[in-house]
Amino acid sequence: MSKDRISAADWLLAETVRLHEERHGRSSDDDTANALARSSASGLTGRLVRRAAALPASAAVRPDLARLRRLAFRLAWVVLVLAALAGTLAAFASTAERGIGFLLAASSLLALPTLMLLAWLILMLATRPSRASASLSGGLLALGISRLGPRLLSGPLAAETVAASGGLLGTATGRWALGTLAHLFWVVYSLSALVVLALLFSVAQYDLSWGTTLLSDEAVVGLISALAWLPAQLGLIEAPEAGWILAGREGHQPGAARAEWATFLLALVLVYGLLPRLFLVMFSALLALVGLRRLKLDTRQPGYLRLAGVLSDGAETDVHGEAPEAAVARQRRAPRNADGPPLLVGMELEKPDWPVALPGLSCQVLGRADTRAQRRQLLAAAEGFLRPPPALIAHCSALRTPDEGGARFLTRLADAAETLLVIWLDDTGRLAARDIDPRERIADWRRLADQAGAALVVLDVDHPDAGALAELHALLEQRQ
Amino acid sequence: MSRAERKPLRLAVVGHTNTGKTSLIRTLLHRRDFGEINNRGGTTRQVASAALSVDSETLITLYDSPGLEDAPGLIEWLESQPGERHDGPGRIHRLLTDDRARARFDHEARVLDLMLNVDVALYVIDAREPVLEKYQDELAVLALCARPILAVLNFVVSPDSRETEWRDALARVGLHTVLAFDAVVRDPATERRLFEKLASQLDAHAETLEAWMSHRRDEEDERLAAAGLTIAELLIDVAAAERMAELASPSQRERAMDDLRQAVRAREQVCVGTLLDLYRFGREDYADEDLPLTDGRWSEDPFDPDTLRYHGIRTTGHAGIGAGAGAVVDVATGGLTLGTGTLVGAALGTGVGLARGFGVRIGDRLRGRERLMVDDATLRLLASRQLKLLAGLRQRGHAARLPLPAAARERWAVERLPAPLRSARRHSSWSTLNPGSMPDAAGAPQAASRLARALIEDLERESAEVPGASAAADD
Repeated sequence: MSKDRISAADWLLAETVRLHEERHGRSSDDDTANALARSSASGLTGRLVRRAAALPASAAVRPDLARLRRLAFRLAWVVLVLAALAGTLAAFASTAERGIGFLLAASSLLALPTLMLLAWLILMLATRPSRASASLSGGLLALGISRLGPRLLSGPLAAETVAASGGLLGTATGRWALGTLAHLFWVVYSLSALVVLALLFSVAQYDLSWGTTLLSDEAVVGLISALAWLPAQLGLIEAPEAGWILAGREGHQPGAARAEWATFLLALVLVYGLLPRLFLVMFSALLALVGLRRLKLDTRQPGYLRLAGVLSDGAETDVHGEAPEAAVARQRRAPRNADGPPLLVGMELEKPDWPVALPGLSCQVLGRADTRAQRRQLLAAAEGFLRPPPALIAHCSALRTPDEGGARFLTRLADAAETLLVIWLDDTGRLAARDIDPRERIADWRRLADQAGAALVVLDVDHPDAGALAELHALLEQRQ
Repeated sequence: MSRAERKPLRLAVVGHTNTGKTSLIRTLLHRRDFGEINNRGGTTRQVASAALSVDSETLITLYDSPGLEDAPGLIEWLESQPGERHDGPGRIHRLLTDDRARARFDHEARVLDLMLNVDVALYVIDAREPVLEKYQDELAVLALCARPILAVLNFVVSPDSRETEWRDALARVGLHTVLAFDAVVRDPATERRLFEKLASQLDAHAETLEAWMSHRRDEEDERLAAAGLTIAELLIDVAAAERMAELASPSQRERAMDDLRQAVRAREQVCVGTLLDLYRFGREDYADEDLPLTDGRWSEDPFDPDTLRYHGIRTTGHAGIGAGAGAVVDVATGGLTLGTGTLVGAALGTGVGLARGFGVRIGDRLRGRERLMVDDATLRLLASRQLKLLAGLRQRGHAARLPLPAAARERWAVERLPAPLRSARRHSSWSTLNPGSMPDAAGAPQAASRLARALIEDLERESAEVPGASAAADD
């Protein structure tokens, strides 16, 4: 997906932050960065990058990354200068004497680059990207960055910045980038050798000839013809004839056709040393550039995955509708002309043998209020009193969550009976078994009681508390 | 149907007040911060929604609703109204357009309004409650909205649960799609069954639900792999951590050990933080949660000898003479004592022992220096604590308010440490706890990923042996 692609600088920044956070923890003040990332980018990758950039710690990472980049380029230059020196040295070494052994010179100029090319091919095919830089100069660069980097960087995340850069070089893309440098090394090597040789051949006279100790002359003629085939095809030299080659045999005709032999040597270096590497430089550079455009974060890494939650769209909650109004508390007055015992109703209780007797309390049992039919009957009965009873006791269970339906019914019932309302809250001892905090539940019932204008007495029948019982008695007597 | 055409499934969670609607949504969302939860009624007063999305495409929208509080009153109101009795939605509509009724049944009106605008509803039941008429009234009112309803029995693991009574009662009103789903336990199998049941009721959305289930599975796998890697990196960091101290200076040695201890503790906190983040639990919840973590820290000190003993871990591999502070430890370099023999120190008592078997370090001793490392017992404790935390988090619902159950894990105390950990002992460059070290040093990531695989295997084996109590029965 295209939206997951990020630039190399962003990739490095995000990786630096990840490496740091995986070892040192998320910074506690990343809320701003998270919110910014959520609002300004889509997709986890984009948001991770945005978040990393918005963190206070990353302010110091960007200059460090720039420094590291400069270091990498400087190291690359050093490598290339070394290549030029090596090429020059090779050219001088093969032309140390005026009489040049053609085969000796050709092999000393071409053997090393060819061997290195083979080694590179084998390493590229045989190893994983993270394991090997697959070339000497690439390795040198990686080593240089890991050794020199920490010394050059000043930010608090210096070690992580360097490690992230190492990580980038360890990806397939980084490997092609290092490969580009490696091939560039040999391009410069061959080019400088070629230039030095051409210069030397221009200003001094060399005699080029070939010789062999073990091989037959025919074999050497075959070898030279084979080597000459490709340069000849490219039009750099004329295809040599056997007679011409045999004429270059050491001791035959010293100095004969020396210009042609020199051109031949230059053509060999060009075709077998320079051209393949030039092609590989372009190939590697192309792959590296394409890879850099397709860089992706590995979002399965713990350091990234842990942020998936806070960076996801789902982290938002929409609230619909307006907030409801708070209920109003009401007051009740004791009836002046009260008569008879208090009334008792049971609401939504789990007690099969209701009513439960309370010591010293005699009530008129009105009935249970569990269903709509029962409630209708109770309302009718409450209205039927000629003189209001002194109080109405509603026996309720703390196991129920108080609800508006219950509150409304009790209000209507007390209104109908024109008397005081006392809510007797039972079963508080059973709350603990349900992991419910009794204090919270009682507070909820108290709110309901306020709404209905009732007094609340918390009295568990299984564990009767003398204080609560006295409170209930006091409530009833005071009103009588 | 293509992605673009797919409309998100709208799912309402309804029920009586305080039955755990918000808890259910939290557990489905894997989000701790949704809504407000406590054991009191009427916590949710307004309809709130959140999305289940994949790659920023919303597949399912979940709606949380205020609890129904007066269904009996509502039914009476509806019965008092004249007009067509069999057009359920029509009757509900009449209620919603009547201003006085709306004001009186504020909660209920919000819920019914929502019901008319969703594809399906989950009716959440506190299975510990008796089947009261008011609950049946609620079902009757909701049925008028003519939307498919799936009944969800919450708190079925409670000893007070009346699951059978409820199933019976639900069957009597023609509600046969019932699922036991404890919101405080996160059991992927139950979660999947919930979506499967929804899919069986909603043909048009079956594809969406299937997409969501497969996304959840992938997410779970990725998360577990990342968690394993997190623990592995911690263990590698600690196993390879070291501090140098002059043999001749006990005070310097003490300082070095203290330094090491603090580094390890801080590193463990980072691991705990990552695990909590991965499973989307927040730091601010620990205090009310009563986790064995205080303010994001394990309340047990890993270096406390009592803690080590509690976990059944041998305090050290060395021969300890005496107990408690100032125990005498053989400074072991593979059994070579080089004459100095033993050192008085708090090494044994405090848990940072000197790991054995480092013949290569003799050179240090000859130079009068010693290398302090975290001992195997501490490593095992760290491993078992993190694995325990991970196992707890995997099964923890996002509505859970009770502490993680402490399960004994003897396995890590007995087995030989895995190879990557043992080789970490020889690679001080692997530890970011060492001064001047770099993260992801050569070889360390490979060792960590191998160790992560071993840890996850261990965890899976363990969970296979002890099946979670969460596997609630289905109808």
